[in-house]
Amino acid sequence: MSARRHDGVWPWIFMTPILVPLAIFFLWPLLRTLYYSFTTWSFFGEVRWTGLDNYERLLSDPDFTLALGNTAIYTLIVMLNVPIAVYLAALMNRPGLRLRALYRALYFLPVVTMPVAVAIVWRMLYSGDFGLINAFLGLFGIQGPYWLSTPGVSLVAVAIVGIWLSLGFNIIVFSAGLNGIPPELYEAAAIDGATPWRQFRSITLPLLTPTLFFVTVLTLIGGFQVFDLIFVMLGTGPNAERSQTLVYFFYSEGFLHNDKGYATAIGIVIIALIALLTALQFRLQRRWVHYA
Amino acid sequence: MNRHLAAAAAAVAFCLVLSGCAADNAPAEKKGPVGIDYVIWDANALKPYKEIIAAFAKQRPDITVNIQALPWEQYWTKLQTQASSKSLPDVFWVNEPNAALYAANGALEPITSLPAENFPRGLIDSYTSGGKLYASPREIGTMGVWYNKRLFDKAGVAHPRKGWTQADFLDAARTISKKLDVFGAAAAPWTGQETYYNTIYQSGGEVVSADKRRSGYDRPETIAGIKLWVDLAKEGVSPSVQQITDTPVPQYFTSGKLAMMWSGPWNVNTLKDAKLAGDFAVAPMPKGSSGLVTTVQGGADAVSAQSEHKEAAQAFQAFLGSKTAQELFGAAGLGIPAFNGSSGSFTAAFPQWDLTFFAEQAANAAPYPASISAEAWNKLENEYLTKAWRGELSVEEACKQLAAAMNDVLAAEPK
Repeated sequence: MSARRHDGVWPWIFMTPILVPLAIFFLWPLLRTLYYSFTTWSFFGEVRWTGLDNYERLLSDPDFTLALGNTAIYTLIVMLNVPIAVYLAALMNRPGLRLRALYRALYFLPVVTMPVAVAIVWRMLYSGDFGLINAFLGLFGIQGPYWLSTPGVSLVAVAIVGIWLSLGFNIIVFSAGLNGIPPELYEAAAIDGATPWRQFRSITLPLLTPTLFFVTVLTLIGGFQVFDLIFVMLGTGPNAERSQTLVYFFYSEGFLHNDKGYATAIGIVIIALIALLTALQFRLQRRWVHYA
Repeated sequence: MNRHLAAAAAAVAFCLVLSGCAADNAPAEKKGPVGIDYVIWDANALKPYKEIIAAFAKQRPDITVNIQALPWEQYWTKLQTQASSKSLPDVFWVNEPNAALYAANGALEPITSLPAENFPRGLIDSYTSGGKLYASPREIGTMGVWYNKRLFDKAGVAHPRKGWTQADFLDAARTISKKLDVFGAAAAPWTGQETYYNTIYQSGGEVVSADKRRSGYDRPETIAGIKLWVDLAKEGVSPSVQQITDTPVPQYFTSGKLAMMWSGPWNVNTLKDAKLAGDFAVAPMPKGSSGLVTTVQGGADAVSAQSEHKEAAQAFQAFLGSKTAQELFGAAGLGIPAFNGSSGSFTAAFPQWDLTFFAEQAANAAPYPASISAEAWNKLENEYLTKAWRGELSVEEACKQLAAAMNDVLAAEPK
């Protein structure tokens, strides 16, 4: 901390290569977006200042409430990712496990695959009459739903793909966190007669909380920004409107309805919501995150 | 070390928040001094257009035409973005609602030299606003009934033929689907032009009033034209809206699981190469209580008012509106050329089918329902009619709610 005061202008000069692109490509567009959110930006580019009109409209727009609700539901389901990833990472980290690298590679594969390609393949799997999933359920005499065109089901179906898609990344992060826990702690606990479950609860979980926090923050942001999966899997179906999330709503107002001023207001609200929730998480972390 | 993790989380979080709003702007393409861009929405048309462009190059070797096809789903989204950044392609395909919209905003260059008498009056009118013609008609589209001869024969039902009626159609669909384990006909809320728009006009209803001020969806005739399809879906004669979401109608038809597919002439190229091609035939639209049997839509070519090479773009546009180009278009099976008397180039290219009625039906066709805000109310149709198809609302109730929502959109249009 004290070093910074004496360094004067030098750190800033060294940071220019990162600060300049950040200012041009993030901060400037962000400021412009903020400005446009107070305007009506018509089809062929005339911009008119309309003050808080866009925000007032947003508050009474049932589509916004719907998108907000859908986003919350989607994010909550995708959060299941975290316990699943912890469990799988713990399994893969057991000493003496063979083929560990293979398991990790398999779980990581979806992360490096293009989300659009993933969505197209899953769309086929989910097909009501000819999909693999319903064919499999049929073996047990279960009549599967039309996954992508039944209201209520479609969002869950997309969220399952969302979980599958990001599981690998979280497993890798948790594995790193697990590797950071000193093995002596487990040895000492074993000598004291602690069961594996007790070891997991009293050693692994508390020491993993910083990683848990990191992953939770990222998952929440990812959930709020979901677009590609929704667009590809539900985009052309009858459910696109009813299952729209915030970013899809932003896209639809901005690029389909060409109401760019209104869309930027939605964008600002998305940023504000994510910032707020993230700040909240940072406040709450003091209660449950243990830094060794 | 773990403190750093929290800091990293904060940093990553910040970046993700910001990147959520980073828009991707396609860079405007700059070509040579005599290069013009031509953008279309049908990738199947790219190859035939190479021929048309080659024919143009013989007349004007000084102009190079770069053709590009965008998928229909993204076509207008992309063009609108280009329009607002003043980087529209020099020449591009338009349809009625968008031509009106773009012309009203000064994005289209009016045409001064097209001999209007070469084209059907209705099409020229559709593309004229404020006394100026804004696009050169390319094709006319009316609908027909593609059917599977083998399924008709197996069920012992007479083939559809000229002069058949809506009642004949419903009978055939129900009988075939009852006797064989296939669907009789298929429609979904998003297949308006191919299915329920036709039955609406056949029943004497309308989608939007001629002055574009009122929705026609609350009229009993319009409701009847929709109810017919919803009933078929309820009875299982048509696949459900969910089944069509997963498996598009043409797939049911080409795999022999659907007896009749209402659709346009543009299917010729896919159907002639299908495995069951020998089973397929096509018949005119059935008649309803009104004199109209279908809608007529016409694609057209427009020149951007923002073009830097207007003279070259207009020369190409004029060529596209010539008999030579239109007959090449027809012979490639892309659609029925709009140029009067040149539809033979299209019908002659597919001797296995009698396609002459597509052009003849234009005389008994309503203009394709459109207005400046068509994109917005097309979405409403999808939304409200889906509720009727699913049985969440009665057809009457869904149509009434749709009419009210659509009237709001129409009222907001600049008149």
